[in-house]
Amino acid sequence: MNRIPKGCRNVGGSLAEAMTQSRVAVLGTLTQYGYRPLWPSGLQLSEVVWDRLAPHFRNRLLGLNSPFGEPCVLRGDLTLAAVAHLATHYAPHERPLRLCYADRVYRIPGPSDTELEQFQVGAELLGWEGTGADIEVLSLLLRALGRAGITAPTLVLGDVTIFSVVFDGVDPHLARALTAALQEDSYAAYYDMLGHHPLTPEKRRLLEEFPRLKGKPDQVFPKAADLLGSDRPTEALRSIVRSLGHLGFEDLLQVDLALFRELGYYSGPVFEVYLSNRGRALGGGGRYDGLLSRYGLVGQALGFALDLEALAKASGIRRNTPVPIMLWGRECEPEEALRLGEKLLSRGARVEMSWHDVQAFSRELARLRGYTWWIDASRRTVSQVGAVGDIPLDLWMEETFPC
Amino acid sequence: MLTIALPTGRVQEDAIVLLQELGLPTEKLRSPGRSLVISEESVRYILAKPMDVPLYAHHGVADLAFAGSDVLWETSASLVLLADTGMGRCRLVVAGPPEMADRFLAHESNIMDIRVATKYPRIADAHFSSRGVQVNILHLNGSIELAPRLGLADCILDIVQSGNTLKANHLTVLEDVAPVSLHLVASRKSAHLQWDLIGDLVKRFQERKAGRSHDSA
Repeated sequence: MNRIPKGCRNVGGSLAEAMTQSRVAVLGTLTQYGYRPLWPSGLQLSEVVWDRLAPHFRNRLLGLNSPFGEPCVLRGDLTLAAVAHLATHYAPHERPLRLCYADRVYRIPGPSDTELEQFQVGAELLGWEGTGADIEVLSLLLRALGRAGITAPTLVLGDVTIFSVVFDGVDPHLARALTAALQEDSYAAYYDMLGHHPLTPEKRRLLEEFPRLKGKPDQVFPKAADLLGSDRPTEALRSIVRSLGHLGFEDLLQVDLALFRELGYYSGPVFEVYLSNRGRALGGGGRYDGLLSRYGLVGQALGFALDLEALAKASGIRRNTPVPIMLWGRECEPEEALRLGEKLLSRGARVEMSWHDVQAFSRELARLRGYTWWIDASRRTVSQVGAVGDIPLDLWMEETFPC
Repeated sequence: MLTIALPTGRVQEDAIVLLQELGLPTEKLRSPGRSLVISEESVRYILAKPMDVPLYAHHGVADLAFAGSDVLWETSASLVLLADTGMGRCRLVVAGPPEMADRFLAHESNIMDIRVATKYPRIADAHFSSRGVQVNILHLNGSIELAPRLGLADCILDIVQSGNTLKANHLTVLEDVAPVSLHLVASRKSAHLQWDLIGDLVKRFQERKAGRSHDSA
């Protein structure tokens, strides 16, 4: 039996096609804006990544030794590879660097999951670029999703720097414990701790209400200003929301001021993307200036990664594929059939060549593969797969490709 | 519409009482017949085996779920823990024949390589690993208490409420692992996007809890 390891998959068929097209849609959008493709190494040295990832994420890395005896992990995160590339290949005056990628990452699945490998597509903007960088990356993310057929995603935005304002004046041990509780998504532990510590009434109200600040920006920001006594702590986030609104994305935005992300290296605005028909996040990202500094680099860094398979499943791309055709060329010269194939391709069709000896087998293969049309290159006739009768190729082309 | 996953069995009634106290409709839920999906007003309930409940919320099929802290620990699902309801209280313990008690009190080397029968293999592994003890874990799906009696295992790791089942099978508690209670959890997506519905429930729950502790004081 030809098995592959548990948790791994060979993706083929229409899903693979949709993934390829989604990848092209996202990377196409990014490369138009100057993002350069990166193909990072599949193996990363343990010593390089270990201290740069949160402990709970480290435990999900797959360790192995290279043939040269170097302790390594299978790449669990593409951002680290992008930052390492910047640190090693670009001088300070060459920054900022814009990178995009589509590749696998490997993580030990939790007990509730099964997949060892995930396909990610994403982008990183590394090096100093001012406030425009946040807007650039987020708007490109939403544009890329639109190009991939995702018309109404929800972008949830947060900012981990607001925590320093919220926990200002709180006993550092308690502040650390409360932050950890929110990081672990445990509101139960958070409120339990609050209940057991003496706090001023104002501070208690702030700490109790702060994690509940979630929803549409126009509802959340006034409440936050009231609680925090000022607009300043949310200024960066409000500026992002304002700019994205001006770019026409207002309806897609939600704010969650208690939003944390799993990787643990974020140090500014963070975000996650959700779809109405998918129970889990499609992806997300955020600012990670702190991670950059751990590589000895000064500046701003921001990126996102999306689950390419989930994106492909949710996208409308498969419904918009070009006219699918099987072209049978067995009874004419191969070059004649191929020339006809090129002509069809130039009109926007998608063509698979068939050289089978028996015409009936070729027709059956077209049916099995889900093609709509089967064309006999030698007789220059077209038949609809599964139907009886055929029509002349020229007439069919006039009707199918009127332009 | 909110979708809430509920565990069948021991804590189902506790969860229904709590839902009712929070002002959610529970009439159909009290007599579900063979239905496993029940819609009442603007709420849809999913009835599932306790060990499966967290998965419904983890994969976003359910917005909210009631699950025991034992099950949450065992499944390690990525969920937002909204509140400890304090209901369905029991304990996760290691239990075994009384003659094992001395071995558990002595140096760890005395329990190295023992056989532990349990419904919670991940918790058992984490618990004994944290003590630096390597054990052989036997994953059973029920009637765990039989295992030591029939020579299948040296001890068990399981939940205990009154202790009567342990007593009936000539077992005694060797060590406590963790307290267990029913928790209210949410999927990450719902916690972000449906907070207008969920937050209200959580607030009502916290007020109810504060009221109770005030009453008891």
